[in-house]
Amino acid sequence: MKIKSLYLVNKQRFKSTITPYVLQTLAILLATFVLSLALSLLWVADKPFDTTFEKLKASHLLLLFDIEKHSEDELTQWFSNQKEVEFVGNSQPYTIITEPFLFKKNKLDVDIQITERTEKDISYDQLILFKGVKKNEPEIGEIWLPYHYEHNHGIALGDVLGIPANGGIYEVKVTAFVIDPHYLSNIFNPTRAWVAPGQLSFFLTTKDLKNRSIGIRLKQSEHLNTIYKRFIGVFDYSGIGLKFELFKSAYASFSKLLSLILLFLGVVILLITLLLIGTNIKTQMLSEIKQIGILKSLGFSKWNIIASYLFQSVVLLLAAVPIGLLLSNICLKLLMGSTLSQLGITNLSFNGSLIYATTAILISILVIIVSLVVSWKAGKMKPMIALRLPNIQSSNPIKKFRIAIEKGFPLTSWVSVHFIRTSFLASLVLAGSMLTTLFIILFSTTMYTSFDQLKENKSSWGFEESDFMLYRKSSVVLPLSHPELMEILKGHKKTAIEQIIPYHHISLNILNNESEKESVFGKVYSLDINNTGLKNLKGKHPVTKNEIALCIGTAKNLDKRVGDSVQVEIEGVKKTLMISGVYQDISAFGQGFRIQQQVVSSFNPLFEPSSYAIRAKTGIEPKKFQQQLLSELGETISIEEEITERASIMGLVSGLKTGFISISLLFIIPCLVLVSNDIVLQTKKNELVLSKLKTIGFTSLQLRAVIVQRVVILFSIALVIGLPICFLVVPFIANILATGIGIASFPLVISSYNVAIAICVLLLTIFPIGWFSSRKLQKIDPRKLVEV
Amino acid sequence: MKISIYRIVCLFVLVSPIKVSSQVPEELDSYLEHIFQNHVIPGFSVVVVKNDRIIYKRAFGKERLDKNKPFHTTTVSAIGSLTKSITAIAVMQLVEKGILSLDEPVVKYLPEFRTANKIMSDKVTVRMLLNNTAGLNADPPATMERSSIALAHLNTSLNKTFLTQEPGISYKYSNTDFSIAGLVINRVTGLSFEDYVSKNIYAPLKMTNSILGVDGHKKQNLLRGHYFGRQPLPANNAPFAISGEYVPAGSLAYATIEDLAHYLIALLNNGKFRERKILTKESVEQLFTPNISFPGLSKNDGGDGQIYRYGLGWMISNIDGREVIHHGGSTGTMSSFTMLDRKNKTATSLLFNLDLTFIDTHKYIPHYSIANNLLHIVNGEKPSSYGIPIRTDPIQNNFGLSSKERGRYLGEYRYSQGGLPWMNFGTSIKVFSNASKMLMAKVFRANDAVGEFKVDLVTPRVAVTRNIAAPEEIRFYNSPQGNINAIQWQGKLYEKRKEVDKLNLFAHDLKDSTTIYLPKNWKFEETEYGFKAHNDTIKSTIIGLLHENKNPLKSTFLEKYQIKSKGLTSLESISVMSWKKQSFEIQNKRLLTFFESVEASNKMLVLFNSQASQHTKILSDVVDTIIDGLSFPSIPLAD
Repeated sequence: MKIKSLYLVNKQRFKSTITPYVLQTLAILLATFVLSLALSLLWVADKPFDTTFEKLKASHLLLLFDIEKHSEDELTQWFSNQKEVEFVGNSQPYTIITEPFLFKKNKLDVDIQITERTEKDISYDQLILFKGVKKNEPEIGEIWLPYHYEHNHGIALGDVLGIPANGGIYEVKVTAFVIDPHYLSNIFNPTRAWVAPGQLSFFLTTKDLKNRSIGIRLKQSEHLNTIYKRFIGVFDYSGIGLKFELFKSAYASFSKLLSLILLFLGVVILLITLLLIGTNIKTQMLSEIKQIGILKSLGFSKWNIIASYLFQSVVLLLAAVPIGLLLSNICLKLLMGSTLSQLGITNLSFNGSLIYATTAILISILVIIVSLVVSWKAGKMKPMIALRLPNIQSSNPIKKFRIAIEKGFPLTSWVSVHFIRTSFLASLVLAGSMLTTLFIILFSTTMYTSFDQLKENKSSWGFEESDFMLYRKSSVVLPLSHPELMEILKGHKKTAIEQIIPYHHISLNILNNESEKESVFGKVYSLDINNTGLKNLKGKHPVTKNEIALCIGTAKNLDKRVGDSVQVEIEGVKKTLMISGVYQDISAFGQGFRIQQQVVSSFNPLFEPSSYAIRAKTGIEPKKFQQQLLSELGETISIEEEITERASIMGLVSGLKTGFISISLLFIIPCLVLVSNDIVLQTKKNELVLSKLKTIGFTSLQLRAVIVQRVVILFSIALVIGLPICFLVVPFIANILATGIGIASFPLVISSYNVAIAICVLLLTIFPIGWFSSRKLQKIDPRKLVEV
Repeated sequence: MKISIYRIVCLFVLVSPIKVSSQVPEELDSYLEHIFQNHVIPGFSVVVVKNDRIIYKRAFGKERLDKNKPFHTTTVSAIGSLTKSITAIAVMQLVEKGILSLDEPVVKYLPEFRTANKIMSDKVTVRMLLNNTAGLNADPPATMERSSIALAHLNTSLNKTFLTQEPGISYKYSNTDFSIAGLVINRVTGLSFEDYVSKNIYAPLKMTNSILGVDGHKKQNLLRGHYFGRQPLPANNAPFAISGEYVPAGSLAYATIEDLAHYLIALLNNGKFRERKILTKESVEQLFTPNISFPGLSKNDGGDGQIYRYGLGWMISNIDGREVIHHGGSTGTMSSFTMLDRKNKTATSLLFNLDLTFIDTHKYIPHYSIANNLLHIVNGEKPSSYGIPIRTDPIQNNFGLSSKERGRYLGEYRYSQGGLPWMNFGTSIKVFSNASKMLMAKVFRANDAVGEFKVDLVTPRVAVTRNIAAPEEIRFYNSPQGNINAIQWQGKLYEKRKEVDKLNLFAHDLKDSTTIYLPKNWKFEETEYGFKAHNDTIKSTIIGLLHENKNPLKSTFLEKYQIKSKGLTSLESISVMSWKKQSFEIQNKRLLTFFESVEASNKMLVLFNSQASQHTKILSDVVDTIIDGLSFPSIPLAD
């Protein structure tokens, strides 16, 4: 067979009905685009960091210490003598300002490590001047801020920041925004700002000038852990050691998360695309069955027929894949471009050809395999059978219509069901696609609802069920003891307080073995934890003075389970406790413990809780009640918002909710493409039947209803089958995704209202698209019957 | 007829002598003698008034434990927060004159008054300042300035603080509130607070020995009081000199007990003392009308669990079944307590040279109990047990340590953070082991012992302090290898300090017999005005100006070097003195730092550093060393 024949066959196909091909091309394009973008992003996520870090010759280890505890000379000397070390930086004075800065008379609530820029060798630990006049270091009275402060806090060059210090405000002028290789990510808190050499003495007392930072650059970053372990073995080091990996993971974590989400999305789109192509070829085959018979009788071999479909797929691939890759490349450049230009990277060593080639080959192979498998049947078809086959399609529907009409069954519905039956595979694919979309939407909706309902479902997240937090202050002239405060609070139990949960945060050392101690921050409860509403993933709450419950992350770190014992150091005394339960707590990112007060009291009779989670009775306005308590108890207490109402948590939750809505919307689009494509194909495939129906009196409106009803019926089937499956699978996936934030059993909240809304939105989107796509039915011409 | 009888009765009441049993002074004597004998108070003075007469006044003990001068009724002692009631009277006088209104926002009188969240500070009224509900911080930041300038400075520094709760709804004891009230008085009258009070309160009340403001204090032989030790420790350089914001309206008035008697008479008699009236009856009522309440002394601590209420500069409580008006004062080394029983028209005031606010009430009777009982006695009632804790001290420990373990605790821990920096800078805790192998601790401000206690371990990391003050929790922190490296006490963190290698120091004697200690690698030369030291390695110079003509020299320095910018003035405590530190940028990126002694005005050190960044701390350490070697004139104490 000549290539020309293949070309002519396919030309005729494309000419007769271009829409399905356009849709398939778009689907392949989308899959290529998303997959290659995801893989590229995953590949390059930490490249800017690595490149910048190398380019600026940044230190792999930053030591932050107090010179009254450690000698800077000793530390410098020790590191200089290590063969793995390339360079030991200068000792740079720094201070961390935790009080709010003043900026344009407003509170700028950020923590900043202000460091003097005093590098002895300017070829190491360099900075990139993102904005501002280039010079080696700031002048006295100036400050260089991280570049993201410009965008995040609306600070501009020339603005004045007031640093709170020494009972006054020391004003500094912002003269540059810099790229700091260690603090590239804006998630660092505190981040680092730079001032002139000697500047700290302008607003700190000499006593406060004791903090130093020393950078250590290694010849190879792989040696970092070895050398740090050696260092800890030699020095009783009580300072902080910030390692290369920390800076890198902080920078790349967000990009990697985005890449993984895109990758997941890309795989789903690819699957849908393959289904779409398969269905399309199948539909095409059925509609061209006569033509296949003719071609075969003309001498086309099995492989010629298969090749005609493969040729078609290759053409689609050729049309879509390069554009997809090109778009991906453009998008990657757009995404990374601003970052790279900010970082001053002009020659990022990213060779996308491998990723693009992999993506293209993967998608091409899969498309070809699907085309091959689906068209195999057509290839094998005997010419005579093929010529007869069209009769199979017309299984005397008219007769059945009459029966249906006689039975009072809606005729359009019956026809819709008939179309589902006659194009079972295509219907299956469409139902599957809608099921996938439904799954994503229900997943997003459920996650959205779960975060939205965090306040109503606190105990499952590890928070006490409370409306606000009350803290007992001991630094006043007439402080209240714990029993005294409890007595007063209990006085409100009849009228306003539903529950009081007294607890105290303490840190204790958990001994992993004789030499390793891990300091863990946890909670000591002064009432039976069973009454707090808090939950365990496994086991039970600690009750006796020999029991402890561990947060899931801590249990994993220690490789401990319920029933195991763990040795802890409480108030300097070693004690073995049995693990009674394992729980989850998002506020501690999976780390922590819960014990009863008696564990601590047995060592420290002075122990008293100072935090009280208060839940007001139904109908009590928490804000008003807080004011009442403040008025009654004065300075002996302070009151704070309950944790889920604090800006940081609310911001996080709001961001996650927006993310889930975006994901839902992103997934609806391919589904709609699929629906539209399917309707066009079905219209084409059933043109003969539809023409017949028109001849017996179906209006164009009814014909469109038939086609759209088919989609709706399939959607309903997907819903009936998919809904239970979704709710079985969603928790499983949610648990996997939430592991990173310390949640092993994601506290899913399924809101029937939200689910109904989501389903309605999907249906209401599909319906008009279906209706729009079926508009060609208005042009169905019964005269075609004559032609056929 | 009825009118005549009424007039006669009134006349009789007005002219009849005060009916006080002749036994009352004896009973008061007997009670107070007993208190004095069974207490650790080094000395105190007391006055009791009834109607418009002083019925009892006496002083006990010595002014200082290390001197023999007895405590007199004319001894000028700190009244602490009783000053707040004086500020309140001053405000009420201006309210009477229509100059101020209690319920007007403070910004009406002080337009520049604002916290960082202006929307909240705009709601603060004059009344809220006087009833401690404004919500401002308890203590203002430190300043070198005093009197009204200090108050103006305070107002500026408030700009960076935030009001975190709605003003007016909750009691929050605050010296800052009253300091702002003092500034309001200054602003609306045009007089400094001291001048206003002297003219309008002290003068009419004949409080001739009462003073306000640090400048006033310097002119007097004031008491310095005693710190808490295992016995009271005589205080030397109390850091009042730097607490400028407290002056005058917050808590830094001084008075004699005789002066306070006049004050009490005026308060009991609707503002009238002898022929002078400082306040109307209505205004006095305003002072004593409750505005807000808060939990009072608990039953465990010897109270009755009833609430206390706050009027304007005064607390109002029901104690032992009758209403009393009271206020204490506390300076850390001295204290006062004043109580009025308006129904019986009796009042008492006590001035102590030890801060009884924080005394261990399990061992020693607190000042409010003494005042309460004095009023009981004078009214023919029996003393009550109010204020005597009913629970026993729950903490009796003596946790044992091996000698190796004990060694981990020993050393010097320097103040690092927490509390009020200006009250605590330069303080340190030295933990040592006594002959009985008990852990002991001494608290120092520079070289002055300002406290001492036994470290009574509850666990290896938690202890309580044992001395004459109420026991407090003290916590030890350890390094990963188990060495104790920090102490937390009274909300402050003290960190263990590396031992200074004193072998590297070299002593240089000056002509005036001052000795300067410097590291060996510093070149030293004596100059006309002091000395000069230079280090070639770090290219830094220290110039010591140690003579009377220091100030002209400072001006010469500042004129000689063109100052490009200057830093904040900070307070440093080095050696036994307080120092003002300020850094300047001069030409060629050189830095110049002045250390100027607060108390010894002739002492100044000037630091030059061409590479200041690397060597700021080195210079500071050298200064620390030098100052350790400097001799200072001691501030004259009362003898």
